[in-house]
Amino acid sequence: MSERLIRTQDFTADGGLHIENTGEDLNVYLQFSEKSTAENLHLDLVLHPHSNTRVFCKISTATHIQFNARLKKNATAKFYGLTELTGNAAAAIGVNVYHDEGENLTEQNFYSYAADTSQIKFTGRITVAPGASGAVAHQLHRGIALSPTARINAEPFLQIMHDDVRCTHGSTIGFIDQEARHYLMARGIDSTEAERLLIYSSQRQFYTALGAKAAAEFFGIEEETL
Amino acid sequence: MALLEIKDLTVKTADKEILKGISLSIDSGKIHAIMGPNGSGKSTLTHVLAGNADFVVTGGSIKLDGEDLLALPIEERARKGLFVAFQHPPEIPGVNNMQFLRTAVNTVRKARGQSELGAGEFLSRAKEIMARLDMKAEMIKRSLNEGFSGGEKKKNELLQMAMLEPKLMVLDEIDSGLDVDALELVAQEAMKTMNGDRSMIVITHYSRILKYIKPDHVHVLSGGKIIESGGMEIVHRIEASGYE
Repeated sequence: MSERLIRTQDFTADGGLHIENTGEDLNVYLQFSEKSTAENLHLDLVLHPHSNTRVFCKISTATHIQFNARLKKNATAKFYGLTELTGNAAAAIGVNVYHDEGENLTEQNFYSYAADTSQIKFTGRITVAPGASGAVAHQLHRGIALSPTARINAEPFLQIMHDDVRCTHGSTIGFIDQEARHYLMARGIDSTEAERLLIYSSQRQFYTALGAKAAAEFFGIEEETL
Repeated sequence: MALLEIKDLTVKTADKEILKGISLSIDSGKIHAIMGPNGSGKSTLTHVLAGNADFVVTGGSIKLDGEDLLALPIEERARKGLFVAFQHPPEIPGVNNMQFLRTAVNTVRKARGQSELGAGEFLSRAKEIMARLDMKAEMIKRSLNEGFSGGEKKKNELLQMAMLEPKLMVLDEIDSGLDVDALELVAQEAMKTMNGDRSMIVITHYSRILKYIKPDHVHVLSGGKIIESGGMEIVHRIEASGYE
């Protein structure tokens, strides 16, 4: 398996980065903790037959990133994104997967946590080309606004131009469960720790989906919580 | 000085006045039962003690050990020794029961100037209490209250209560959802948690739990007011002829 760590400065001046997977097992890690010079970043992936690509993306600063993935037959692309914003930062994450051919798989797992007056926008697009039999595509977005003034917006787009395919999408956005928060605090746990526990509770599904230990470490997840 | 002193408490929720001037004084080491028909305001009192923001105190005062309870944040109330066993504990998937309880216990102990419990000692104490409550060992490893039956949730409340070692315990309808055997175990554990200077308020609709937890004082709450106070004779009368 190959691993590649990508930081903001690895993108070209116009914000682009191109990766072509010709058949290997590849993990790509992207970490955005400082603002990029380019206004909009885009990572373009071309996934050839029998290639497996997992993209792990951690965002904690104002970022506009667009993922574009084109899949050939028997290719797999899985995206895992965790966005945690504070202050008045704004992030926009877009994923476009194109099943140009069939018998392939894509997954999108994105979790968003917005505090203060921060804003997160997630746009997930699945396109299945005519004749792409056996394409499987899943998209999931979960968002929790940690303050009444934070904003999270999720927009799914599915363009399915063939019948013999399987595509799912789901999105939930809400606030921290106030009843649960009150319960934890009634046992002596302060508000900050109670919210941390509840965020962890929400993120657990994401952690479970990650599977790989290296990915968990990348997202800063303690082993005992897995 | 009383451990808990409630004076002329008035409370509203959603613009409706629920409690209309309650006064109650609870000394250390005493058990008080508050009984009453549905809608009398029993659970409202619990919500106010626990700091539920949906219930607005419009008048009166509550002091715990001489300190203004209503001025304390929710978590400070627990750290000062108040424990409210919830009538309907929420399910919190993904938060491990043991991790939560250990965090709570050590936070409270630290606030009280006590040493934190190590993993081994914590687990040993928890297992001892769970055995007394006839709780399955696996329950400490599960998500907090997730998928627990009504009885299991109540036992989990008692586990938390025993581990947190509060000064004042408030059991809100702890008997609901419990069969006869579980009720006896829960009541026994509650009595075991009582010691010399701890106090307890048992809020209940029915008299059955008071066969196991013998109150020193019994109050009847009706229409948002305490309309009667006395001893076990009140329990016997309610048992025989209801609240009419």
